[in-house]
Amino acid sequence: MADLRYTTPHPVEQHYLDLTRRRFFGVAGKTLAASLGTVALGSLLGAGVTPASTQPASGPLVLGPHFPPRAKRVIYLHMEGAPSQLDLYDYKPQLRARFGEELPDSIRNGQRLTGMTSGQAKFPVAPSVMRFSRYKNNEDGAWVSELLPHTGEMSHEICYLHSMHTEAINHEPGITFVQTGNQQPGRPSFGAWASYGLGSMNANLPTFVVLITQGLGNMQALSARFWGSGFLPSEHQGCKLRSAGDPVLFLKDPDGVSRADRRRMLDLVGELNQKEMNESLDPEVRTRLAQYEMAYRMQMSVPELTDFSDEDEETLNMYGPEVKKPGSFAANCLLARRLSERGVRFVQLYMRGWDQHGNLPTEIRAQAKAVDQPQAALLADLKRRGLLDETLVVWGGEFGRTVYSQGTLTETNYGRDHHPRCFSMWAAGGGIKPGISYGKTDDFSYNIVENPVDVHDLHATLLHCLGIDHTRMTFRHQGRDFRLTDVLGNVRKELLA
Amino acid sequence: MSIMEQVFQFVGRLHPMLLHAPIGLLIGLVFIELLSLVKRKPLPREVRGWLSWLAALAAAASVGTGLILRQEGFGSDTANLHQWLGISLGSILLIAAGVQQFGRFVMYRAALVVAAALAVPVGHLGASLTYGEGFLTEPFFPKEKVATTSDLTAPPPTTEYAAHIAPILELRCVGCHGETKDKGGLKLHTPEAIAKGGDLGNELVAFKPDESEIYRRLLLPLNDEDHMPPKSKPQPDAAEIETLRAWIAAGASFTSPIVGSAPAAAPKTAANAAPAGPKAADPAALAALHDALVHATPIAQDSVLLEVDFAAVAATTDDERVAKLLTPISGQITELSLSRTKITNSSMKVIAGFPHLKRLDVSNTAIDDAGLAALAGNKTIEELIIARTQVGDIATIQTMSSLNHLFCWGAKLSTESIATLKQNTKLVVEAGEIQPQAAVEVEPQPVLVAAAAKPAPAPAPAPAAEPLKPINTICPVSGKPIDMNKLVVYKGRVVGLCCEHCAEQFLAEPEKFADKLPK
Repeated sequence: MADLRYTTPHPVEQHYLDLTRRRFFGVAGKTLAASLGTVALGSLLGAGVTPASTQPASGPLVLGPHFPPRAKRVIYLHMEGAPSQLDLYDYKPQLRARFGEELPDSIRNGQRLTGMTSGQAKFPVAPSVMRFSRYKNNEDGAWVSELLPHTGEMSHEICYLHSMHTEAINHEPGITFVQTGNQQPGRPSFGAWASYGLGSMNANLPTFVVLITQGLGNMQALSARFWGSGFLPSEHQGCKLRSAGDPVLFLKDPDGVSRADRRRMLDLVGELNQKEMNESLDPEVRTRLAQYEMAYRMQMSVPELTDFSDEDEETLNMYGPEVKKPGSFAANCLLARRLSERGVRFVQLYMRGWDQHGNLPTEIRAQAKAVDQPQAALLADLKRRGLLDETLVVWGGEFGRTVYSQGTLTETNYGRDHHPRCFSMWAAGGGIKPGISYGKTDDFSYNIVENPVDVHDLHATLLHCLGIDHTRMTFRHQGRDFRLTDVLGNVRKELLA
Repeated sequence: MSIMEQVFQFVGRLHPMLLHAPIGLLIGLVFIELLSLVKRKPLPREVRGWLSWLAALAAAASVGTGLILRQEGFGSDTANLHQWLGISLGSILLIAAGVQQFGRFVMYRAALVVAAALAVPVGHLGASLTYGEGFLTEPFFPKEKVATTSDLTAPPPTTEYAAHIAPILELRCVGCHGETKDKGGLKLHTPEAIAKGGDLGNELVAFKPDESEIYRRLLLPLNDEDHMPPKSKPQPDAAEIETLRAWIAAGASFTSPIVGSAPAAAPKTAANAAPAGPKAADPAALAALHDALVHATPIAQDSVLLEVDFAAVAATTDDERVAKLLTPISGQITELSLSRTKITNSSMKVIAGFPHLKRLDVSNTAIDDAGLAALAGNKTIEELIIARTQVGDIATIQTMSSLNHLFCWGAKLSTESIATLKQNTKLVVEAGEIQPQAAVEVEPQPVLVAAAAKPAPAPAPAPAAEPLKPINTICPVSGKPIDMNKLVVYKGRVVGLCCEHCAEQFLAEPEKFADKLPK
């Protein structure tokens, strides 16, 4: 394979050419192909699909950005459980005058509620008890609740999105939607698409890493398919690093096995797998082969990654007192920075426990305290290392919470149910316009009145920052091309720097 | 290529041999029929039967091998037409064999006539594919010669067009836009034809390369339908594209003198004119980087510029590795990260020679002032990251004319130096100072006000015992009597409204209605 530029068809393109060819012979050349069989034909035409010199050692089919990207990496802070926009970012001071008032029908407009509150006799408006402050940004300031003082101070780097909305009203479909672009399970997650589209920048670490922090309140199950690769080759799935014990299970050599022995074992297994692959051309064999090699290299790279001893005291303090507790949000934020620094494309943090149906003021206080300082420190730390301008940081849950109280409303206590009609997220860094607020909700933070952004729009915009045209990153599966944004999504140019 | 693939290709290449069989047999069949007409004596039926089936079989084999051969990349209209006419011919021979089997000799003869008529264009198109368009008629219409640099008998070209543009057009375009073909109505083989343009009209807009389709389409992504030359054809390299751009930008004149050969032009235009774009990186050099687990990929599809990141092997990367791996691709690197590597000042001398470097990250390395000095006067680097290095002097930084972002947190720069750098308004200096951005405004302790009533001390928001007394009796928005359940608080006073709608309007713009309230 001679010239890298690319006069040879791109590997992925080549792959599709072969598929088309295969289909062609499957129909037109049936008499001819009958004796060979379409599968055999596929394998003989598919051989050499991946020119060795154009692929990294692991050899996945990588597209590369469509145009020069603004961001090369993503750190996605997912707040599992759906944090209350009303108590964090969506400032509604006028609601204080409506404490306890019934939510007007003109606002709710007959929209569906979950089964948890649809039977409630009353829907009393519960204004936030949190005090808000206005922080300097590149517009006339951003109002952020007292729960997030550190985050508020970073408002000049942040683009707040107050007008997110989603289709889902329950956690499982909600997270599935925001992570994969569809409520139904089975699609590849955002991180897997990023890995598929952009490939690895560090052959010693997975391209897509998942870190989970246990929350303080009501927690929903987190299925591994939230970071699964769906129909994409499975090397693109997220690799979850555990917080306690070994970060990656079964990575260590068993007692009595030396690294040299392990190498010899891998060489032999590799040879066998290579034979199998030549016969079957099953992409999963290639994945397995690549993953064995990756695991072998991770035996060296992961301990170095998770060892914070080379961080100075000042940096550790920045992330707050919990940074030394493995698995805490602070530790995971620091780990996320270290992963980004090492070229990991997509780091997905999950902070569990934002599902405050009751006793919200107390619970959200503790929950927000756990994330506030670390996430602000993450932004500041990325910034001073010259990483923020090419790292996209995204913060948000799967939907919002209702303005009316679930259960009893008092002056100091209330709960909030799921609310898909509007919620707040934020993004910062690579390619995103810093220090702005986008979108508006009505006075009840119930409906969107200005610049609605749906999940597909968000995905399209984030992919744009990564140099990917969301309409052109596709994968053929079950006879049609799939995209992260399916047939929807618009890049919101107003959000781009 | 696997053995099966080799066999497959071999079978395809039997096409030019096999195709003669059906032609020969067809001629034979026609001849036999003519003979039987002349002799008024039908031929033995069996001869005709066997031969017509043999012809059909041979035609099927030709079609099959032809389809395989086509995969080698015959993408033109000619090949397309040849394919479909060939398939038709094969089908008709099959039909002919079939109908004679059932004794329908009139239909059989009709089919033979059609087949014979089809065989001529099929054969001709096939021959055109093999020997080139116009091969047959060339003895009568010799090709007009286009002035090329390789034409030794002609005087050396003196115009920029003849010296540099015509050869590119001839190499990349004239195959489809020239003497024999004029796709899109466009011919590019002579100045007159170029000036005439094609169906679009804006193929060439003098002085405006971006509006000229013949330039714009070169830049479209390879997959774009409008991309030229088509994906399957050899593509112009960056230097050719740049030459074309420069020519159009200079007015697309056919008479202006030679601008100069690329190397000669370099010193002349080095100051500001866009230099010829970089060529693609050497694949062997890229393979070496991949093998060393160094990330090196084009910054985008269809770009030859590379981003290179040593993150995976930072701990073992030294000057020697950097020089060995990067020197062969020095002309393509535009973003380079050496963060956390073991490089020393000597690597900076290597880096200083990279002509397209825009972003350099040497944070967390041992680089100091002496190392950075190698970059003195650098004109390409826009973003420099020296966080946590030993750099303490700003003299070099101040000589870097394109620099617009400097990350120097944790370097040895003094506060005064940083202040000096910040005076340059073109330069964003990120020194990592934590600037506590205290809130500019804090809202007063929120006071919850029940619109209808203050809740009783009981936990439930029960309706209050004593209703609030509004200051007005007439709704300030609509002028109707107020509803006692639609009360709001405005400037510490309870205001009554007639309906929800008015309440919303009032709350949205209370000032507008304030003077309708009793004082």
